[in-house]
Amino acid sequence: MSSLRFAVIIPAYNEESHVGDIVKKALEYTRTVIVVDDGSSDKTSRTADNSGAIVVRHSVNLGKGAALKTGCELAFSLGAEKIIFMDADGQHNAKNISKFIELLEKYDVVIGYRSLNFKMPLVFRLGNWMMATATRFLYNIDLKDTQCGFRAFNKRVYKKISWESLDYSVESEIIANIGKHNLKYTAVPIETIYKDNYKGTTIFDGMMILANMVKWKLIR
Amino acid sequence: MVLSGVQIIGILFGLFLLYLAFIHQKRKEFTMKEWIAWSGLAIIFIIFAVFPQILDPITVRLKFFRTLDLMVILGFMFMIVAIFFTYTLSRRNQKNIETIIRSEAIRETLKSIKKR
Repeated sequence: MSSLRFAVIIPAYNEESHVGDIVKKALEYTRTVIVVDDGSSDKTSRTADNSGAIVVRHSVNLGKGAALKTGCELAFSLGAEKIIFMDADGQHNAKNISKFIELLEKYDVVIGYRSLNFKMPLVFRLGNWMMATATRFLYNIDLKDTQCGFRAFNKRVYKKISWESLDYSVESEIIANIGKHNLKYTAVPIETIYKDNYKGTTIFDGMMILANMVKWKLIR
Repeated sequence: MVLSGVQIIGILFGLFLLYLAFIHQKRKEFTMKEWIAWSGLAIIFIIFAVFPQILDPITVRLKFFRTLDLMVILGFMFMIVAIFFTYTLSRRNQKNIETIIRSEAIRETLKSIKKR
């Protein structure tokens, strides 16, 4: 399965040990894998480049939201019609890409969900439960996992879901925008491998995300 | 005239503000107008700290119990305005930096793709 119609975007910050592997696996499903090196101080850019990705590099660290936006703008300028986001820490299985592409024929946005089992660190499980409850309450969107970075969307809805967040709030902002514009979305189960319990969203990030969710509800 | 502890703290704060304004002017980080404005503010603060009775007409009219209460309220108002301006300025700078870095990154990548 190889297509020019969709691009996989991987935001990466100091992920030299995982990024090469995930790029190689993603390249089995698409010809366009874009790694956005968000100002890493290690060899993330070189590793991704050697693995066959198109690398776009921020000269300073801006955050995940900013990296995803850069990736999207580059992908669209290269002609992509569908976008898939994956995390660079290797927790997502590239085999699931096919599922996302298939579902994008019917839906505007496809969001992955990780099973909230005991493999998921306790802090993440609690955080996910809180975010899901807040999302249901504030936006009337029922998702098991609101913070999963494995998601896909069609180019035509990019302007509607486009985000202002530079940080980890991006995932919640996209969901808020889906609710605001009544876009067709679905959730798909994905396999997850936790390689690093200390990277990703922290408790403080979680609190900021919750505060932002309330802000978007009140201001928009 | 015996100065109270609060007055001494006020004077020291005003002098510190004067010193900061002077340093920034010497480093050419402030224009002459900025230096005069910040030094003026510091001098006014020192005058109010030494002679708080100058503010009595306002304190009485606004029914404040003490001049210090008026100063605390004014201080809070000033702080909120300062935070608001700092917030809007940092947001604007953040957006500008994001735009510059993104457009530079994409330009460089497209250039290297064309070279291949």
